[in-house]
Amino acid sequence: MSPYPVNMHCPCCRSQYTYKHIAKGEEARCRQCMCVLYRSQQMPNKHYCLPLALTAFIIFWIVQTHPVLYVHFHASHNTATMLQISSIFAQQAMLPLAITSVLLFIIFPLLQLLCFMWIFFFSYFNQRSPGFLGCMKLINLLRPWSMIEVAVLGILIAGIKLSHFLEIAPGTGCWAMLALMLLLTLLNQQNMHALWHLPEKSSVSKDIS
Amino acid sequence: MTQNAFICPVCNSLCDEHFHTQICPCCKTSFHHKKKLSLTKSYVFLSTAVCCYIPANMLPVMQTNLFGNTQNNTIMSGIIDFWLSGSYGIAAIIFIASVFIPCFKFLVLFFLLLSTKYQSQTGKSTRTKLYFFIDQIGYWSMLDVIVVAVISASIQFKSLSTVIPDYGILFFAAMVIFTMLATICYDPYLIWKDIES
Repeated sequence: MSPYPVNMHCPCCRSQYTYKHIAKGEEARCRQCMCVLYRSQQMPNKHYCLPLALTAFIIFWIVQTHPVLYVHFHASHNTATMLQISSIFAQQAMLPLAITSVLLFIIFPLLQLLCFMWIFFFSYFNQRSPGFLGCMKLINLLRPWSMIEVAVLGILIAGIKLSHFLEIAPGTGCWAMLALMLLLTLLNQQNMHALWHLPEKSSVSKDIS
Repeated sequence: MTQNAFICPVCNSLCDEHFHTQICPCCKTSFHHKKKLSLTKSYVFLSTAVCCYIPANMLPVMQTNLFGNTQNNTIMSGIIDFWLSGSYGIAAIIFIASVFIPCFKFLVLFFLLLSTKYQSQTGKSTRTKLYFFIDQIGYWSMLDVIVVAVISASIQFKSLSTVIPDYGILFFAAMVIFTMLATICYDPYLIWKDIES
């Protein structure tokens, strides 16, 4: 780091600032437009992040394999899993919507989780994972498109609406989904930028050889 | 003596701005032409979204066939049903997610695009905050799509009662996605651009 003051500008409104060191866990925001200028370089706790990502993956698997809702109507009953819910639009000429909802509610959260697991697995051994840049860009790109929390609220509202004239019971998948929503929020809050300072995997193996 | 630098938004490292090449040495991302054709893309996506919003409200979102009684439900009729049955909170949530947020986003984006076109000098920081706000809340509009999907998937009792999603929800989902794309394409730097020139 240079001993001279470093001038930098806000990426959004180009106001000028002088770089100052900030405390752990803090972030510097632009005074004018509230855009994030930079964050402190605090590493995410590796003993916390990898188990969190693995738990989220197991819970994701439970969400997909167990029914979200049980519906009873006199003698007949019906169950709905997340895949059935997302692909319900496929029965008419609404196939694009079926594909979109499978992507938004299943594929994108899964891809996000896989990226988190890949990055945190290598960071556990103090290495930067192969394809780190791609994973980071994918996580940032998918963030607005992964809609687990919207799905949880939607299932809640639909359950209340259905309970007016049917007998409804939440399934294992419903509770698992609630847990998955919390875990994904925790994972998204991690300061992933700090992981750039880990040594690359190839350079570590070269040093050893 | 000072040194000029910028912070890379992808990897958060402090980069020297020596040769006016805005390429991050750490992750090799270039920020020179950040969002090409930002305004045009945003206009196109926004007008497509507004076009989709009209059939989304006119066409039924689902066709319910309960005990031989067929009924077509639109978004507004669903909200009114909740309100009349006494679930005011849920009626409010659905109203906010599927009517208020989309209309608010249309108005804010249209206002942002117009003010950028005429290079308005007032309320720049408010406009930037407004942009980040609609960027955060946009995806909650997808709520209605999942509600329709859950209801249709749950009520499948062959001859007795069935619920079939209708074309209104297709246009509604398209509207949400196009508004999100319009928001992502808009570059908030455009609000401040003339400061630099």
